[in-house]
Amino acid sequence: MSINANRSYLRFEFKIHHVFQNNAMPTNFSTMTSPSQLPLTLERLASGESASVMAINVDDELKKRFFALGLKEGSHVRVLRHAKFGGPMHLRVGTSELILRLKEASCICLATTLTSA
Amino acid sequence: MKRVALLGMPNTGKSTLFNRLTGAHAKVGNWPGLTVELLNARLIVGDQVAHMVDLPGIYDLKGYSDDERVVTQFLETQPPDLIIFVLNTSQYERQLNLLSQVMAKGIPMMLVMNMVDEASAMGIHVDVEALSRKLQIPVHFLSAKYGQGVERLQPAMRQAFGEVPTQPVLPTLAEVEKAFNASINVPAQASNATTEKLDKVLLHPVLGLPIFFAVMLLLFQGVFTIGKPLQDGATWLLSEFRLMALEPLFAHLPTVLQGLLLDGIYNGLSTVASFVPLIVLFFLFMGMVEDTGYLSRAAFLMDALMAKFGLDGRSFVMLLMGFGCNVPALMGTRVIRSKGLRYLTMLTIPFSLCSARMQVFVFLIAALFTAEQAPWVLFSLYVMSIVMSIITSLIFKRQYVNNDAFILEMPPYRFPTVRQMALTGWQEVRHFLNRATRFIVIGVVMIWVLTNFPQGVQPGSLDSWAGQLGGWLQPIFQPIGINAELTIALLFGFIAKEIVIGSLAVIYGQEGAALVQTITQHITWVEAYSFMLFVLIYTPCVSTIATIRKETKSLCFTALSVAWPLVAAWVITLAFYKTAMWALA
Repeated sequence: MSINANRSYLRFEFKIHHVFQNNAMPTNFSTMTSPSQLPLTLERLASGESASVMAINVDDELKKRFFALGLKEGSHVRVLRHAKFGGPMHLRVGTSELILRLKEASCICLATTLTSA
Repeated sequence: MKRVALLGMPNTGKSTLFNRLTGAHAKVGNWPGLTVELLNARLIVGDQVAHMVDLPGIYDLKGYSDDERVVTQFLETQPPDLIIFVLNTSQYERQLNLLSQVMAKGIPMMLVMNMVDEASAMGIHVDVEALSRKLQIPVHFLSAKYGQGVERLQPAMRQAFGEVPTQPVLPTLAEVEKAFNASINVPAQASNATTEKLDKVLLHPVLGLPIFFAVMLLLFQGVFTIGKPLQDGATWLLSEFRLMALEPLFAHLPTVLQGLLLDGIYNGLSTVASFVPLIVLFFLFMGMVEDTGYLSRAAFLMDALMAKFGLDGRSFVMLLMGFGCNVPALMGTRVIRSKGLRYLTMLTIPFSLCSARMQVFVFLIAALFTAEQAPWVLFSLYVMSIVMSIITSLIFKRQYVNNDAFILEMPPYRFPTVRQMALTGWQEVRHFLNRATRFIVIGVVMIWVLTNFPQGVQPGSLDSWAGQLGGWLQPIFQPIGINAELTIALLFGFIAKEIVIGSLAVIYGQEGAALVQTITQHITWVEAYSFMLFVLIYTPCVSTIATIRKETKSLCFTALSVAWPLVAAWVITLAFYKTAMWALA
């Protein structure tokens, strides 16, 4: 898990770039300074955890695909499982299920309220 | 003629409904103005004939994937008289955006809320009348799979055709959502319990992959255990038919004509036809695995590994599909948006050991290896097929970079009905008949002519045209252990792999058990394995090349997809043959 957290820290700089482009980060972003206070992104959720989506920082085209599979701002996601060797994660959104790679999951910011199922 | 189009997202049962409505008479045809082929069929509606088109499943009308472009182009250039929008009821929310996009086109519509069986099991309730009133289009709640409620579509279509088209209402997404939310009742904890339980086992972090490979092995084992006796039976029947019916019937014909009909066409065709039971069984089993939704699970399990080769989980599924036939697998890559990944996947698919090549291998292995060795020899060829795909993607992944997101729907497990399986089996038989008339007959006739002329030569000998042609090519093929006769089979195998076994029958002038006997006398197991390696790696068939050309519209890429496997086939076969000869010496 610690390795995972570290990785998402590395992605942080990449994400800042996105923020200025899309202007879709959580409003309290400016107050965040240390990695522990980074906005929670989807790939960091473990199996069985769930949260609601706050922002999706991807291009419009991919956003449409996410939307068509049920992933949009405000939807509630539950992580069913992670594939081995850093493979994709299996999610449930409403009555639909989908899989996506951690790279894409890291573009999805969550409201920080974590609820364990 | 009125035209009806079926439209909806993938995994909504659109094609099942299409089959249900049109019977098994659908055919793939070209559409004017479109570069891809769409499934279409004639359909009697009341007293008129309508044309029904099954559009590819798409997620967004404004998307940029090739499938999405096809649908948009279709609706714009040739708007149908009626769109039947198929919706998977239990997951309706995420499909409403597409629905409102299609409604905005202003084409008369009918909404099918499909999979009533699944929705009811989850406790979902739909007020069809309220929904229809609010959306101002006819709504039908049905199960395309079990046929429940499908009978209501005929009168509904009749009515739709009879009506004078009125100005359709074009609701916004918010209005559509409001209409649905007011008419559908989904229990808070709606989920598919069976799927969850199965996934716990089949997607198990440690056991998931071993289970997947065990399932695939079991599938192949099942195909051969059930299929081999059927194939032997078919071989016997076809031999008897020649002996009992055809030989007496053609006895009064001139010898040359007799030779052409019996030793040429009949031997060639019957050798290929004896494999039909095996192939039908193979597609039946593959179709079952596909229909259950297990392939999406395979994509999940294999994605991390495939990423190392520059591919992804979807590429893996397409490679698996390629084990059936490379052509639909190549077309299946349309769902991939990244050109790099799509091209890379298309470059690897032709190495998938398709069912036509499997026939060649099963035939030769049965002739030259013992029953104990046979499964392992075939297994080694499947391993080689996968190794070639991996080598290819490792070599070319820098040219064709994958920058596509990997996000995939995981449908619940579904179990095919007997009806669906029968349809799959029938479609395969029809596919064979189609290929038989198109390629195989022409191929075997040409081979018969080449092996029996100029007049007076010993059929298939080195003096015949085929022998001379094979002789010229010997500098290329002799070093890799492929003799003149087999070279001819390879040349024609370029058209379709079924021709290879058909041509062996023609070249050696025999069929059935006698042919096997002759082959055993003419080639060693090392030569046979070299030949099989070459058959595995070089171009699968002209249809594959044509599909790659059509899908990519690039001559350069098509040339690469032919040249690379040819070179690889020669080099690898050479390496095998020289090593084997050295080891055995």
